[in-house]
Amino acid sequence: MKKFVRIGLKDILITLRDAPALAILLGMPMIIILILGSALGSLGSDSEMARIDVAIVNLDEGDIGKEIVEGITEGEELEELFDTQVLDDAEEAREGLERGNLAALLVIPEDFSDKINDSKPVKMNVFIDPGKEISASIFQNVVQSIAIRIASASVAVQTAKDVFVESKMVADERDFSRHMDKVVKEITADDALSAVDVLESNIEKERKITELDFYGTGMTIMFLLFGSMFGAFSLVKEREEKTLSRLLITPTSKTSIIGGKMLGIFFVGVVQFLVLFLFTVILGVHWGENLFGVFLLALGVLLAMTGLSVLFSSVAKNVRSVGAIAPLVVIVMALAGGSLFPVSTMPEWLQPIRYLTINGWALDGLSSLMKGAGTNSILPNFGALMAMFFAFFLLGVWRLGYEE
Amino acid sequence: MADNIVIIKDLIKKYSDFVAVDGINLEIQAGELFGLLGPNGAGKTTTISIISCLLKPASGDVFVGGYSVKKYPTKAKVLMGVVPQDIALYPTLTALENLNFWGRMYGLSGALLKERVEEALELAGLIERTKERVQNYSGGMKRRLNIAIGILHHPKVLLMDEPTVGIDPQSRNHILETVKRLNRAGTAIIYTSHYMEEVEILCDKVGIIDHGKIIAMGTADELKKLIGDEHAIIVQAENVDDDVIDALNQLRYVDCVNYHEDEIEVLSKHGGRVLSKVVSVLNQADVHINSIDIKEPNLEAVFLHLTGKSLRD
Repeated sequence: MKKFVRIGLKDILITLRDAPALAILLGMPMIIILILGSALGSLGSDSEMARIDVAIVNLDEGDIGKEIVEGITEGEELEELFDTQVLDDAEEAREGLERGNLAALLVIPEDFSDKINDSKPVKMNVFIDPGKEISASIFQNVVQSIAIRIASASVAVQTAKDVFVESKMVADERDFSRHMDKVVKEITADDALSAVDVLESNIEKERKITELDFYGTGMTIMFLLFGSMFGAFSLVKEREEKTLSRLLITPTSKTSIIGGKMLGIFFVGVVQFLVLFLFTVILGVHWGENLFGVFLLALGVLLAMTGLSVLFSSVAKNVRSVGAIAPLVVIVMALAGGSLFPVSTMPEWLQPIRYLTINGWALDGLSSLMKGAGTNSILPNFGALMAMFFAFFLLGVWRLGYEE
Repeated sequence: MADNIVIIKDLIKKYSDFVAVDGINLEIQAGELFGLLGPNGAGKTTTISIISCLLKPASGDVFVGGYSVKKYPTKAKVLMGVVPQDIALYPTLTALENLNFWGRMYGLSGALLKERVEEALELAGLIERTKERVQNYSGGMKRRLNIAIGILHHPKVLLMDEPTVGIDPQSRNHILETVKRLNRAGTAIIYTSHYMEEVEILCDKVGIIDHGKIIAMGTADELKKLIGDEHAIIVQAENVDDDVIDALNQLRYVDCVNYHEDEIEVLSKHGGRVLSKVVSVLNQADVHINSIDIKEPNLEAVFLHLTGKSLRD
């Protein structure tokens, strides 16, 4: 086995025997996630943040338009998903959409009911915000589903009318319309319910992020970064306890020594991540379907954390200074990067600050994965984490070299 | 030349304006036990650090087994074992885990590693506590393990930098015995110390170092001849103050007085004649005398003669 692997394994053994380190790396995050999870978990399912803002402008004076509006605004499942405004002015609604207040807008045209009753072609217009494509497509699907039902009902009504009138089962067309109104009402009311079927498959595409998901992942990332403190401890202790000098007088290259030390820090991080990942999954945290993406981001975070360890060890002269500097940096990154509260709650001008942190890039990627994004969409996040690793590592090595 | 395992040539090491090693030249033969004697700060550890490739010299070079430490440090390192002055161990690992780890860093593995680890444990007298964490060991046990690590790979030359600092007499004796045993087995040893007794007992050849320079070199007997007949009167006493030391210093024939931890050391070429005067001064000052001893000329006196100061200064 290569010497650097031996150095890494030795460091894992030392960390596993370090009770305070284990308490901070594993015990603390587990307790915090458990407490936050049980306190906030029950709020998760009805979260406001998942409702999609839509608007309907109903210009139709007939019953069918009215039924569609009621179906969307009063159906229990749809009400939960859409925050629907019913507006009178189509222009005003369009402006709302352009301002980004709405994900989608449905305009039901004038004479909509009359045209359906007369079996004439008719169109409902759905306008969407391209920036909210996924949310908008859910609404679009609902409307489409309603339209299909109306169209098939309309064909059925027309056919029935012809048959009924010809066979004299009804007195005339007016008499038929009176009977059929009831039928049409029921069909359109039913549309809303059947639309829910379409909807549910869409919900999977953009799953809601619950508080448990948020804190489970946020805390895991934050405590992975605490690994950098123990990594720097390990590097500084090796210097303080003179074992580094002793390593340097053995026929072992400097590259093997620094490589082995980093491997040990990384290994400990991998163990920590796997334990916390399993723990949060058992608690019900949803990391998304794309596990490869999750592990890729975790790899990025652990590498960046390893680089940060080297940087800390080069800045801090002894274990005490590491103990002062590292937690400060980790907590500031957690605050700015969205581990402690959602970045969206910060003032808009301050939000980009998260891109200076490991947490920011990691959580941004993880939240995309939770919403069903593919691996390609998190590659920039992984790239940014790798860039941080190289930057921290090279800066640390440069500083260490400068001291010598 | 062929028998020289270590050759030091015109070695210089500077830290800004301070010259730590100032043009040292030395040749140490295979199987030789060489003592480097000097006070703290004389340049012993810096010299050892350069030989062991930990520090780079400002100029000059060191050859170990013919390999320049500047050009072929890895080859030179394989031939050397180093026992650093500071205890350099992993406290939360056991003795066995420490030895296995360091053995692997010297390229040992498998059955050979196991054999060498057992041998080192036996030599260090730690065979019964191999699975105990080093943090629970006494200072002496840690020192012994510190030495055991240095000899795992059977080096041709062992550099021992003050290996007995701060330990109990029992462990010290064990370490001195170990050094003799290793040397008898053919290992050349460079032994640094500021305890002249150790160097005098152990070493075939002694170099006296001060301010980064070797100021005298030879066997202990050769060095002692430099000063003729300097005796040391050692008094174990209580209630000694500065006035007493001054009074002793002013006695005729007294060359130097050292006082350290209830022990007064009076150096004089006329030991017998001075003894009664020393006792009389101490009695007048109401000093309580526990014991008195006269020692033959020693390296301490040589050092004093050469530098005008004590090894313990």
